[in-house]
Amino acid sequence: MSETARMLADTAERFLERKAPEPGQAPSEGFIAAMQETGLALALAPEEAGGIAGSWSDAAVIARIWGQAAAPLPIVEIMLAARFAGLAGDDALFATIAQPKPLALKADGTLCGPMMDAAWADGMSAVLAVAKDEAGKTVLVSVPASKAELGKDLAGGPRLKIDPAALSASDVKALGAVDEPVAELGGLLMSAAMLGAMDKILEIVIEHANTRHQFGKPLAKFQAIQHALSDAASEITATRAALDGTLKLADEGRMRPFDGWVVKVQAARAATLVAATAHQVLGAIGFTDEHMLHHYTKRLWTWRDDWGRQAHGEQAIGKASIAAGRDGLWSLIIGDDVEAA
Amino acid sequence: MSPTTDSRNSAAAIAQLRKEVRAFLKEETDAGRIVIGQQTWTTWDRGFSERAAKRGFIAMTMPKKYGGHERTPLERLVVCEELLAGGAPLGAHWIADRQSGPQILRNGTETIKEKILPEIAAGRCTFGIGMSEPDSGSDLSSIRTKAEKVEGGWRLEGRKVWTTNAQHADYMIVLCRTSPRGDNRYAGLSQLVVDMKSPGVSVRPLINLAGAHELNEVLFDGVFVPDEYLLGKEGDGWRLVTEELSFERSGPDRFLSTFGLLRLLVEAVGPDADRHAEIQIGRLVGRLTAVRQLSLQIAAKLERGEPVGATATIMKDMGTVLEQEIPDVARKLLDERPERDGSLVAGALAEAILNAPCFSLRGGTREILKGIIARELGLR
Repeated sequence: MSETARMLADTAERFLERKAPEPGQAPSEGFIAAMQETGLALALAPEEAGGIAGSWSDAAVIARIWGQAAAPLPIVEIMLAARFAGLAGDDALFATIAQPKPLALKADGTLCGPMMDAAWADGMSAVLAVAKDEAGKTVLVSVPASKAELGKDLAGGPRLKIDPAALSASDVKALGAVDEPVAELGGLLMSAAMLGAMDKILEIVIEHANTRHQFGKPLAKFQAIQHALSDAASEITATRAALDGTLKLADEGRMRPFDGWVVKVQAARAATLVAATAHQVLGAIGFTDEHMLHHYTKRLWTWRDDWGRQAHGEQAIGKASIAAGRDGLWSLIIGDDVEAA
Repeated sequence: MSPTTDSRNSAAAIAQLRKEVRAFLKEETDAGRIVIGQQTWTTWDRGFSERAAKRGFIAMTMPKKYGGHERTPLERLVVCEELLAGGAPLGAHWIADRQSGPQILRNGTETIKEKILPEIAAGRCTFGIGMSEPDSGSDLSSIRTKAEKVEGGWRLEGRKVWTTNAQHADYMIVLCRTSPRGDNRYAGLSQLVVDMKSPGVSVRPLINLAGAHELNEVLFDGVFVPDEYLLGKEGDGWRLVTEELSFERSGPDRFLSTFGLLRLLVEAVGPDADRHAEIQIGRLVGRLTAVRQLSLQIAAKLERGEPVGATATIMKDMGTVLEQEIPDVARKLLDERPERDGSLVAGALAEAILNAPCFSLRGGTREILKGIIARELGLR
């Protein structure tokens, strides 16, 4: 872990320990302001915007700790929005960024495309989104939240829906070109948050299996339980390995969309198995509102299809694999540069 | 020099090395000696191993004085990956290069290092693994093969099974009991290096369900094994076996066994593949890439001498599940039946289906692996 990452991890852990509510409870008044004071929201923002200009690995540490605490606020979107707004010289430093969708920015300044969808929190100044302009360039736009409909995700987190057709040209502020793969980078941070939640779930389940007795012995003594938890731990280990490997590439500016999708689909696949296994082992106890397990599993059920639905990621990898063909598949997987050697 | 600053491990040097291995594989393929989807790392072909040795692709990390090349562990990993991904027949040297040679280097006497290691490096030496027995499969510590101390060595008596390529093997490392079983069932075991030409060794074929003769039963009837052929000290057997297994379990051979079929599958579905086929293939390739990342990180830890805990076990379990999933996805996406004398892809599918059961048996069954992982998780 880098010096910056260690510092950010300490800050995030201390802040959440002091200020975060119990999972599922509403945050106390002043939680958002206190979070902004820590500077964590600006982990990825450029220095000119008052940010920390941290690496993707640094931001992933924060996302993981947030997921581990099932803390309020969509930290992934907050960090991404601050980075891209900051890079574009915009002052929307406490904002959200919409899920990646095929949006088009027309020459007349209007947006068109499917319903926009963004995680939200009170006090945010705007909704950022990535769109393609008529020249085919990827650009960042900012739209007001005033024309949005407020809903909830599976975990109860606030979620905005905005119909691009309902926005006039004056609602849409173009902020300039983006030259980073926003969707895949968002997927990386989302995977880090999922990893945090999965680590916590595994801890809960192991504790339960070791202490809950049935038939005169702890659940952990049953081979069926041992094997189920072994599978869950394996998925988590593979996710951590894929994430760490790809974060390194992202930090060096060498991440291909393929690498990002590999992490996201691994995390999504792991999330499904880990959540299901946890509920099976916790039994009816884990199916109650009272037990904290569902605050983590509902987040996983939301996040596994955020920042690129799992099936979309798998399809992207499949398309790339088929295009690479029999003789190019291995090179695609390992990302080699043998051609240049 | 640390692994990351060694210039031999630089991206450019590694790319150059991959290029060399691919050029070699292309020659072998063009000459018809490699057929994609038909051979694996257990396929015995001494000619191939000798040619690979001439290129310096065997005993890569071994000291030069034993015929090795003193390359970095990363360089060795890269060569192994490329050979496996290219579908090369590696059975004549694979076990010697992967585990027996390194075991002898770490724990062997100078006599056997000088005698055996240069032969391995030349691609002329096949090793068998002498662990399982007729009554001891997963329960390895219950083995009955025993060695009695005699003047100048040991007298070995017993039976080993499922020994891959024993009919071609020059040596076998045999796990045996050297003192009676007491309260600690892991104590009193030792590893002996047995010359397969010794009087009293006999090999009987065990034809597998694919009709291939790779597995064998090996009988030791009062075989004399000289003192210098004991690995480590008497009673070290269990520790040495466990050490060997973390190297055996975390390599690319644990997720690339059906990679040839996957290559043929992406070609067969072609650019007109539908969404379902794209997703199914993406799922396999995504998993393979993630498991490979895990394998690389374990290799880096082993290289730095850091403990890898249960991660090697996790990698083998996930890798072998993937190896078995590939033929199952392929049979649903292809318009062909598995057929051994059919088209290239139908043949590869047939081989993969017929060989798949052993992927999660060899090197520790899935159930044993999950037990190890659960123990590491602290389930008590």
